[in-house]
Amino acid sequence: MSTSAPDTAVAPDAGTERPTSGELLEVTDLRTTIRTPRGPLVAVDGVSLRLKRGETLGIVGESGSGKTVLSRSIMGLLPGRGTMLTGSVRFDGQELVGAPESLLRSIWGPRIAMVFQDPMTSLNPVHRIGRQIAETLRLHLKLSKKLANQSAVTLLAQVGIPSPELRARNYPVELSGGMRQRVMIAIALACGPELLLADEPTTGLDVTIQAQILDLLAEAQRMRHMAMIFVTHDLGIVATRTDQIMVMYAGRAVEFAPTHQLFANVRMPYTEALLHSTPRMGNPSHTRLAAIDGRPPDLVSRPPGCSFAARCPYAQDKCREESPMLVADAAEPDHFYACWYPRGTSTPVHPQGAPSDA
Amino acid sequence: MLDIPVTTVEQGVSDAEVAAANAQPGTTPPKRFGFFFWCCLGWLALIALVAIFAGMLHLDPPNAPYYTPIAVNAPPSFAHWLGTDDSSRDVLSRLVYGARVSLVIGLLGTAIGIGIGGSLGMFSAYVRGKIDAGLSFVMYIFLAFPAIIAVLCILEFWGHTESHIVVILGLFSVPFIYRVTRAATLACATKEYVTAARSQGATARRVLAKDIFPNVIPALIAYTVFTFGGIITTEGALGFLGQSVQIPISSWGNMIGEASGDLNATLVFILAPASALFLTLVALNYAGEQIRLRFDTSEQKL
Amino acid sequence: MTRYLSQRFAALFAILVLISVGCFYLVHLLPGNPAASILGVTATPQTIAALDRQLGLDKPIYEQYFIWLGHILHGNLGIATPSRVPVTTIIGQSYKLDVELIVISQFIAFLIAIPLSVYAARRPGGFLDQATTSTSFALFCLPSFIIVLWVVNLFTIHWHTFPGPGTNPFPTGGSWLSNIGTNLYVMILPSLVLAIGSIAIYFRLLRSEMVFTLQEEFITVARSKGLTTNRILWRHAVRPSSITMLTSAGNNIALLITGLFIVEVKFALPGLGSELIGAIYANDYLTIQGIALVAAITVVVVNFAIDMILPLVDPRIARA
Ligand SMILES: Nc1ncnc2c1ncn2[C@@H]1O[C@H](COP(=O)(O)OP(=O)(O)O)[C@@H](O)[C@H]1O
Ligand code: SF4
Ligand SMILES: [Mg+2]
Repeated sequence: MSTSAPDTAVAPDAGTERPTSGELLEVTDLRTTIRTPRGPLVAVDGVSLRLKRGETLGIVGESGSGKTVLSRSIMGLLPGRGTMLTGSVRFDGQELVGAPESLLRSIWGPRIAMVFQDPMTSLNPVHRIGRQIAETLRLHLKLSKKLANQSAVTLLAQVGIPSPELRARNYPVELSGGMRQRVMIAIALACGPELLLADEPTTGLDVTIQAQILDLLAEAQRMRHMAMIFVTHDLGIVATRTDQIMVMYAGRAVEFAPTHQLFANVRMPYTEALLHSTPRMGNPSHTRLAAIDGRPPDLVSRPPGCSFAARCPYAQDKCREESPMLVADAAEPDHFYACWYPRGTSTPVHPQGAPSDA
Repeated sequence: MLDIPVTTVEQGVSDAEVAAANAQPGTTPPKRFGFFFWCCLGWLALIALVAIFAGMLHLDPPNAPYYTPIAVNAPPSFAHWLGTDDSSRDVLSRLVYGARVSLVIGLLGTAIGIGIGGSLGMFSAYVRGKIDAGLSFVMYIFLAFPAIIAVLCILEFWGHTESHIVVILGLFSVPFIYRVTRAATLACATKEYVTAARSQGATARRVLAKDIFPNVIPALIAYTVFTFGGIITTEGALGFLGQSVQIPISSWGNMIGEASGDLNATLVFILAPASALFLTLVALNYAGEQIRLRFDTSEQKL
Repeated sequence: MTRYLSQRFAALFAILVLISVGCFYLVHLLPGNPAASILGVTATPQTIAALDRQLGLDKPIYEQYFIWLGHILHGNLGIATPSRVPVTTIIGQSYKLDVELIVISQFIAFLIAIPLSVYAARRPGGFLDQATTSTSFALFCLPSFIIVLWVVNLFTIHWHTFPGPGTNPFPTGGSWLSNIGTNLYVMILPSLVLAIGSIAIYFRLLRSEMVFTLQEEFITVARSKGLTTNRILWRHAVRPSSITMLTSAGNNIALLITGLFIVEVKFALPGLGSELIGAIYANDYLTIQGIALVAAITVVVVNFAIDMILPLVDPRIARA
């Protein structure tokens, strides 16, 4: 891959001193409520997480578990009316929840950027792709038109697009899905963000392209000391590319652990089910993980107890009555899960009422 | 800030699944027609009844002058609620009988347009291929041709009778109805159950009658209502130009045209037919739009 | 792209041929005999036959068509019967007037409809949206012949803001600047009347497309780039939303002609509509034919031009 071109033309952060380590993002009890005709829908329900500079967090869950809403809530990229955001998102010490749109706009692009799921719909069909990249450079870095266009070409080269000068003048319709996703990545990387949110960036692509895009993201991240939140429904994809993994179900974090610990010792039955339904590497990624029977609960009127109870093979009466809290594993303090009857090895320690009758 | 509903783009399949999962049966409030919709229907019913039973309203004869010199251009009075026009004719009576003309032309013209345009549109979309392309091309030409020129010529040489106006306005609405029916049919002809019926060897007529027609009906109803409004408007324009039914027969259009050309006419003479026409068009277009929105699933989510 | 262009050109050619056949036939469909009406009351079967021969009306119909087509292509629309003036002379001035009316009215319509729909779509269901949507709905339901009465009464008779019906839009004698000024002064009111219906149509179409576009993923992407709302609305959303509106502008021209005739009559402007009605009364077949031909060709050519513009507005068009 030709992505190793040096960061010359676009080195927005070259002059400014930017720390390469330390806490970058701190999300506390984030809750997103969407107004729907049937009533308020709690799409993200009390999620907390932390991310250091340069680290990667994987967010995994079935379709509909709230990953997209969560990543957009973190960014503050939700429409004002119809959605309500509570809790706290501190980005580099700055509170984003409730921040004015003008502050968010100055952060979107140069500091936090997002790669969207569907490359076929996320590029503006009526603008040349070079212009779509140059647009942010001109706006945020105040580059001249000429310089911005040159940088756009360099970025296209960096994301591995052949003959970038010609391609810059193409419209999205003239590009394949994989190419468009590279363009999307170039747009996101253009201003050198400190945090990249990648929302299922490879879901619509076929396997070989998928691997290339993943490598591209990993390389960009390493070179730019960029933190990344990588959203996917495929545990297989995040297994080797993340520092931590958060498993989401029905808008909640149900298991949260450093990647190696999670795979070594899966505690939450939902994670287990995900793992079993994960397509083996090499299978076409389009095979959907339909392997878990049943459907996620209705988020407008959530049943009491564990959200997974209706589908969980280990569910007992208690699961249907009381909601399990996210608690730390006794043996691995970094490993959190929300389950009354966890899988795996060590004994769970619950703050209130240990499962004495189990 | 752009205030638009949150949308998250999912892969087609999963989104539908999620939506299905979240849509608990029976809990979605059914979309209802609002108060204004029923007002519109009420108005339409009222003018229809008045037009039908005009003979029983004990009005003065609409076309015969009232032969009292004082009654020329008389203002509204108890005897003549809307006054009398320059030929001493009772304006209310002319308005009521004019409604008959406008509504009958609208109704029959629409019937012709829907009958021909609707069946051609469905047929064309069903058979596809060369016939479809040819028909669409012909319709496209008719749509581009300034109908008013042909209508003016033809009426002048054939005569300005109600039946000619009906036929001509009906025929010129065909391309419009053809286009929307064809689009609606195409949208549902690609649905699974229709493809299934076709592959099981159902005859074309059966598929059209059993599977396509019922599904195109809602769109067709809405566009019937729009066409009705369109034909009434065109008839009004012709009347205004003095090219619709001829005086002394009244239609709303020629009443407006006549009154506006007469400097002695009071405002009421214009206002009465103009309001009647405007309210009718509002009622038709609003009702049509509501029907369209109610049945058009692609716009419901907006 | 080449495929799109060649298709459009082929369609244009086919339509022009069909329209010329249609207009040629129009005269043959009408009752009466051109030669008889030219000669008037003095006609005898002999003189009619002689004139028929002179006009080529005794030849087979397809031959007549090609002869006629040859004349048309040389810009010869024939000689109008009662006045013995070339049809092109009669039509020329009125055509200029009508084109000006349509151009100004469409300019006004876009100028008003586009910003209104952009800002209305920004908050669907908001105050501005509801106000503009219901106003445009009311205007949509108001036929042009009612609007024209209002406007004429208010602006020319009541307030005297604009010149009344019958003022000559093409004055001579003044400097060219003052002539243009007078011309615009006379034309602005009729154009405005003509524009109102178009505003309602364009507003409805662009607004609903905008609402739809603003829900697209690429708009969220544009927001995630930190662009301002105005930039997103104008630079990212308008163009992809405007295809339906532009296409309808093409179709609208044919419909606009009805309104045009009404406006001409009410403002006593010597346009094609007035000429047409005069020609119909005078049994002036060649002028009727010329007007039908010129109007139809204009509509078709405008539609063709719009088809040519569409791929520039939205590159997806040429690939569909
Ligand atoms: N605009 C919306 N209106 C109503 N519900 C929504 C909307 N967007 C997302 N949701 C709901 O929020 C939940 C989470 O969706 P999402 O974040 O897209 O899931 P994921 O990205 O994990 O597949 C789903 O139940 C979905 O139906
Ligand atoms: S709490 Fe109960 S139902 Fe929920 S995951 Fe654990 S075992 Fe299953
Ligand atoms: Mg998602």
